[in-house]
Amino acid sequence: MQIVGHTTQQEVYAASRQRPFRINEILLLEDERHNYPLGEVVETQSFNRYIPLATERSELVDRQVMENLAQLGYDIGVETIHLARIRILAELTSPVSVGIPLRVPEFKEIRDLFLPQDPHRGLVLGVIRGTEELTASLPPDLARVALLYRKGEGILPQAGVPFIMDHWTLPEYPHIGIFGGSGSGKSFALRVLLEELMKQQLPVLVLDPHFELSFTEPFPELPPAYREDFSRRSTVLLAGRDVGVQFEELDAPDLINLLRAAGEVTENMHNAILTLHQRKDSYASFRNRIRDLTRGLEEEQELKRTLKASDDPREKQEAARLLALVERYKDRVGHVSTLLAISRRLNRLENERIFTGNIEPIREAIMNRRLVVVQGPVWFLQVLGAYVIRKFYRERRQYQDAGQTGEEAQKFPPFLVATDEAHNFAPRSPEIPAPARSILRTIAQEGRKYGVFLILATQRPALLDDTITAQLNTKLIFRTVRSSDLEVIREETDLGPEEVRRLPYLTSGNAFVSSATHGRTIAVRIRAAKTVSPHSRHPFAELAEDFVPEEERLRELLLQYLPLGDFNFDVHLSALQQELKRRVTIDEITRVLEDLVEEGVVEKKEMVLGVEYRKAGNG
Amino acid sequence: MRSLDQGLQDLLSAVNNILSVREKNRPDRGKIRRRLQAEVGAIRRAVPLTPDTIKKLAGGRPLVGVDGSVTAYGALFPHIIHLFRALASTTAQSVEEGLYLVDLFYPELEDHRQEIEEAVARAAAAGENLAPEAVLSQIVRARLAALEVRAAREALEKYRPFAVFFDGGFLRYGTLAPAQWQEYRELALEMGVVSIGVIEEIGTFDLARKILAGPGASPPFTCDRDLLFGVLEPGEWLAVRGELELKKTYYTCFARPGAYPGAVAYDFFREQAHRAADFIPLLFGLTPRGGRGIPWWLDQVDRAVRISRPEMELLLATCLDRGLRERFFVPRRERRSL
Repeated sequence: MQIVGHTTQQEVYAASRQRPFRINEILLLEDERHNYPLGEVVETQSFNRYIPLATERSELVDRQVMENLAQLGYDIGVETIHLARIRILAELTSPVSVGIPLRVPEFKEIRDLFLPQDPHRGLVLGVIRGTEELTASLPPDLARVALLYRKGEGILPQAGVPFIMDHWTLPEYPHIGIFGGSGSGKSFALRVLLEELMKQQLPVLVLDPHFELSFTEPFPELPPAYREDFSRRSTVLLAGRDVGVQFEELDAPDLINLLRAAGEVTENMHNAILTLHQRKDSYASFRNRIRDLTRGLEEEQELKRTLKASDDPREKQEAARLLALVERYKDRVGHVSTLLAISRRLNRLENERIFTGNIEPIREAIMNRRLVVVQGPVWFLQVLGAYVIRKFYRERRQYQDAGQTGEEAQKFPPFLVATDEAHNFAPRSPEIPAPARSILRTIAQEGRKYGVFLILATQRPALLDDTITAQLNTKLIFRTVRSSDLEVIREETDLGPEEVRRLPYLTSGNAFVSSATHGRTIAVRIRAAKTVSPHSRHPFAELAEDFVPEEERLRELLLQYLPLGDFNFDVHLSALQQELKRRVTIDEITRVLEDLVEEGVVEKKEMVLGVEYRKAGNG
Repeated sequence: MRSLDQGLQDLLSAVNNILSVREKNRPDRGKIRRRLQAEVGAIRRAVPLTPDTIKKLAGGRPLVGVDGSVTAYGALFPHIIHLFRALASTTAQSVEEGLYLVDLFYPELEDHRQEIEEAVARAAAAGENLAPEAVLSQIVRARLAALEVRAAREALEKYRPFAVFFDGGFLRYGTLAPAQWQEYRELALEMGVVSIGVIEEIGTFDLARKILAGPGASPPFTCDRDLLFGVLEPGEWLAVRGELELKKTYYTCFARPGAYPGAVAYDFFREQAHRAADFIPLLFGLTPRGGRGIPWWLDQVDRAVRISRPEMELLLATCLDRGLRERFFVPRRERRSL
């Protein structure tokens, strides 16, 4: 291997006759003048001028001629030349010397380049691609920390230097983005990253709209030594069942923010809520106040008449109460339509069960440095997430600010917020209502001061709020195909043109890490996860495993109960349901029996009392 | 716009007439084949080459291809530099890793000036008036031939091949570099190395004279190349009878190795003429069917030996001062603006 052609202080070409270059491999340039700099292969080529693309100027080589020449000892392979474009990983002041040899370095020669952090104090996300040849020279504590996985091949041994993300640099270079299309390995990487955060016992709030981030099921085929139990470090909560917004905890601005998720909140509505909401209001008390006031405004004249003319003291009392409300709020809440709009938004939130439960389980997990996953539909998570994050961020800020001014404040730890489909939580387009956008923006811009960090995964970086995108100091970029997304990546990362060109072709699990901490792009293969999503089963496999057997069991049972017919279906129905532990309808039974008839297992006879099914061949 | 020159059109049309008349009067293919078989030798079909026959021919030794190139720099005598390079490459390694020899000729170098002057004087003694420019071109041809032969000779010892292919016929070496050629020939024969000169453009007239002579006389300048065009089938060769002695010390035969309808010729040493029937299948087997009829290896040697323009420019830029180059070697017309 040798440096050839023109060189610069940043980039050189290398050629080799014997050894093809590998993309992203690190080579050592034996340039004494520059103190033996390292270089990364960013583009590779092999060509054989005797096997060219057929053009009018060079005829394709005649195979027969080559075979005959081979008999004379000629190997056309020797004419293959391997070329590589190499980016120098040091800042040189003059071009690299031409003609100098290169070689594969030993691990100890490049350790500083790749391992700014001790493996136990960093996040082991995978291996650095192109370092496969260094595996043998790895010290034992780095040699078996990141097993790999490839579809169809299963778990593979670690090949290469582990990629260890230094989360201690987060205050300096805050926030992590994970970009990549579906099937690119993005969600897998998020899982691996969260596993590593759990190992470091960092408090993480995860919003999981896919219901897939639980960490109790171990990855199949994983060697026992590599397994890890995350059950005590993670909590999974279901939004609307385990957690929700406790209405009594809300103040008026909180409530307004929540209502925004259900629809636009106008100036009038805003004022009305500030007027009507009282501290410690329950959902019922607030809703009733609005309902009563609405009725009072709508029926003011009638109520006045009732108050004057009615004989029923209860009616009169009620009318007096409503009119008192009208009297009290009339000038400050505006028109009835404003109140109706507030009611509608409130109803929607209630119907979605936003107000069921409270956020204490989340708080408890965060306080105990656990990872807490809140699962729910995207919209619910947006509303709940916005509320929880805002609340926690405020508490954290108060605590830290208090520490500085010497005041007393409730303790609240630094924490991370992670979510997939981040473009739903903070969409770029301002027209899309997104309750969490503003708080995520705030954290993106100033969260580092308070030790609050974001991990945002999305398949559409182009749709993610650009203020936020610009603040993601570390980005893991997986296969990306859409040109608009590629454009964002080109602008927002230090990926070079040749890396951007490779993005549409990355295979699942391979990524580029663009990070301010490294100052360069690193090609990484994400390690095998230690846990697996509970529903990572293929839907068709699920059909085969869970649904066909149901019907087959019914068939077996029906065959036992023969003869069957209109005369005794209801007799056996409950027994069947008990056996199958589910509801069975006459229609279903008839359908299965008809299938059996078609297969010739069962005979169908028209009898006086209706149809009768019997075992075939019984006369 | 100027119209197409009528005078030149007329002159060219006359050429076209002559050629088309000749093509019309050309004896038909069957007749030429019959005459060739009767007068010159059998038309044979080469047996297809098998790995076994190659192994037997080669006996574990490689094949060597030899070629040379000359590049001139400068415009006006005496300021013309000729760079020579000869290459003998074996099939045992990459073509570029062969044996290179180089040479330079520049009339202003003392030895070279003397060489020219002596040649002019020799010609004058023989009553011939030769300009130094004319001598220069002869010397260049001779030097190139000598260099190629030297490369071939050194390759014999270095690579111990079973055969050497030359790009071009043997007459050139014998005439231009007789001493070196004789030396090569003796060594090759002694070592049993079969030497073959592959001639792409046949320049002889002997066959045409033989075949087309007689009643209904032939047009005077029909050459063998024209005669043989389209006459042989792909894979056929004309096994010239030994006693014909088309070239005195060499044995020449004609062949059509591939799709191209023109014929090529192969020169052998007379002592090795009997090997022709064995080697022609090999020559065919090493020649791309769609190509020009030159063995592929020779083509590669030819490509590798040439001094490319960028290489030439680099050499000049490295070794000649810019001022001297401009002063002595760049002709004024190159400075003309268009």
